[in-house]
Amino acid sequence: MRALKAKLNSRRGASLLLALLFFLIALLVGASILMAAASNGGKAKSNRDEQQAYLTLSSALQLVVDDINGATYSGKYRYSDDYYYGWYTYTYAQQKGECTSQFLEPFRPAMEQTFSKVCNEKVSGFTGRYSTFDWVPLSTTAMDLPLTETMTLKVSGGTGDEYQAITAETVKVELTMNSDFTVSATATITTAGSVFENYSMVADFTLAVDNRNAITVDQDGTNGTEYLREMLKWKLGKMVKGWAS
Amino acid sequence: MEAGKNGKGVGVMMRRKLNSQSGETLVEALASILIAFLSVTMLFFCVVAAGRMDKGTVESDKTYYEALAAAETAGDANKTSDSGEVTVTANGAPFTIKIDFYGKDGLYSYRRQN
Repeated sequence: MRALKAKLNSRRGASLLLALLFFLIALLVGASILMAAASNGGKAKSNRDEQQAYLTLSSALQLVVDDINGATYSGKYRYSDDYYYGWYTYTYAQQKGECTSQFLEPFRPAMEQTFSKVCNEKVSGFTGRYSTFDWVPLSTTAMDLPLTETMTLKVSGGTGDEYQAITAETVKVELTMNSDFTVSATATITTAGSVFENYSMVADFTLAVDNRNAITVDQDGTNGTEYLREMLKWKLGKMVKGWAS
Repeated sequence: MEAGKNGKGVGVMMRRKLNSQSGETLVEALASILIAFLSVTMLFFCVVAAGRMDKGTVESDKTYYEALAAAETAGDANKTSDSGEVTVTANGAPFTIKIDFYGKDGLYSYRRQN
């Protein structure tokens, strides 16, 4: 008991103990400083990867926006007339219309269908003595709106490893044409494990021009001539970005 | 065994020396000073290394923000000499769109070619 008390009260070896304690503190502080600096560097690299994924996604949606914003659909018909033994036949044959957007091309049948319906109503109202007026619709598959078309966008090109990140990601774009012909485009990154895997960007397009009720079909025309009528024109409404809930 | 100066053996002298506690405070103090010196040196090198790493990070941050601004602005000044294309695959016929790349240092965006 006395020996233990003497040991506890002894100051021998105290300076060594203090030095070891100082060493331990220095070791901890040094390690913390190094870890903080290394983590900062790692964060910068991760930021770069995240930003590249974001740029890939926004570039893909911008490509869609540039394509659809200001795009038009115009229907087309060919006028011809014929006279046979005192009877006039006027034919208005629908031709393939013109859609200036490549991304909206899959929805063209729905637009042709509406154009045909409107024109048919106009032609049905034409009157004349000893005459028939026929609207001949374009033979397309019936398409009812709303309809969603899924597209994938893959970038290629560029030289060197610098473009590896932008060419590695695949972007999925879901285009929906609503029954009032407004369009919604949702872009997401499909690459598994990407930091922006559940991030989506949405662009909504409204109609800048809606001529569905104002399409004109002239009763008389020049035989064999094609007439183009602009029916729809789109403009960008709003863009929303955010994580999918 | 060889006799020592006082007629004692070397082995006995060595054992005594080892068991002796005189001069221990000095050895202890020297060891403490050595450990303290090593600690300070280690801390110094850690701080220097962290400083270097931080400087590197600041430099890379600078190039990162410059590259980001170039990629996001997508103006003619930031257009790279490389071009590429985007392949759009849908249910219908796939089509390609020619694009230009904008940005630098591994951060790129793209726009349709004019």
